[in-house]
Amino acid sequence: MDNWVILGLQFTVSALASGLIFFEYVLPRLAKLSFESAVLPMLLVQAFRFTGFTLLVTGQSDPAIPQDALSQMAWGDYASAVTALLAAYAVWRQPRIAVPLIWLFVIVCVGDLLNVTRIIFEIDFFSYDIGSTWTFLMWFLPWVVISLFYILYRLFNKAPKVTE
Amino acid sequence: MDNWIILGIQTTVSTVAYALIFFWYVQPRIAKLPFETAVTPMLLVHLFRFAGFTLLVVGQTDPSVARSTLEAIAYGDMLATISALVAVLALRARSSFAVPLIWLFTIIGFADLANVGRLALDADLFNHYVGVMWLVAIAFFPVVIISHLYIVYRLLNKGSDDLEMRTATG
Repeated sequence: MDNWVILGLQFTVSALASGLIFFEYVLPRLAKLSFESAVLPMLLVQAFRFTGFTLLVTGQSDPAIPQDALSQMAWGDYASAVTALLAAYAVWRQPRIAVPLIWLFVIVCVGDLLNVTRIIFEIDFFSYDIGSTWTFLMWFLPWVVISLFYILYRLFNKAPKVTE
Repeated sequence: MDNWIILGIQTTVSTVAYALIFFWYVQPRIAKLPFETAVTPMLLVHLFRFAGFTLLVVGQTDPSVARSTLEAIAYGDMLATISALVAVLALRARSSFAVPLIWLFTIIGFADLANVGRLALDADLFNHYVGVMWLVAIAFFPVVIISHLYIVYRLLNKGSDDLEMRTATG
């Protein structure tokens, strides 16, 4: 079975499982919270994207993968993690600049995801050995996507949902 | 040191740590909950057993391990994942099939674990390179066992009677 097919199968089930957990346990709690309280944990999820830097560790990825491609993916993830942390700090301590910093994170994050997707297809990334990054993809990537969408949702719908 | 001994040491500590977390923080909360609410998160744990499919990824396992062994482990895990998914959806829908489906998942899940144990020993799997599956074995496997046992405990000490009554009355 091709690595792409395996990843597709794993990512589908992972997205489904993570989606069920999010809608069943996380969303009902977040929905009642203020914008700041709801967005903070979602930004902290994104802070763990430093794991993408593992691609640059010697022995963790196939040496045949172009180094430039690995660098772009690793630094893109790192930039997303840093901007997420900056935004999280602002939400916590500097609310005045929080929203612009969250938007900055969103732009960096979406830019990185688009760039990574382009590279992955260009170099047929998943046909190479990518070591522990495979774990990151199958378990963590769905949460990256879910938390990004929820941050975007709350940027446009800042008020908490009032329950009857 | 032999890989099996390292695995044994790691999974022992991991199991003790998860068991402490379970008995100190999780069990006191879910013990008070009705069958449906308590068993749902335990079933959700098993949706992540798709991780076993990583054994089939080129580069993630020693190519000298028999492909048939890796496929038996990978497909067994995927079957357990799918049966857990079907059971959790039935439970959420309050279907009258929920309890039989949870039993079916339990049988498939334990049969898979037994089969994986047999295959891993036969193939001396952990003395080969298994990539990220090592992490899955030490960090996730104990959670699978604990949640499986708790599901069986709740099936036998029902509360699922509540569910059956509720589904029967609509």
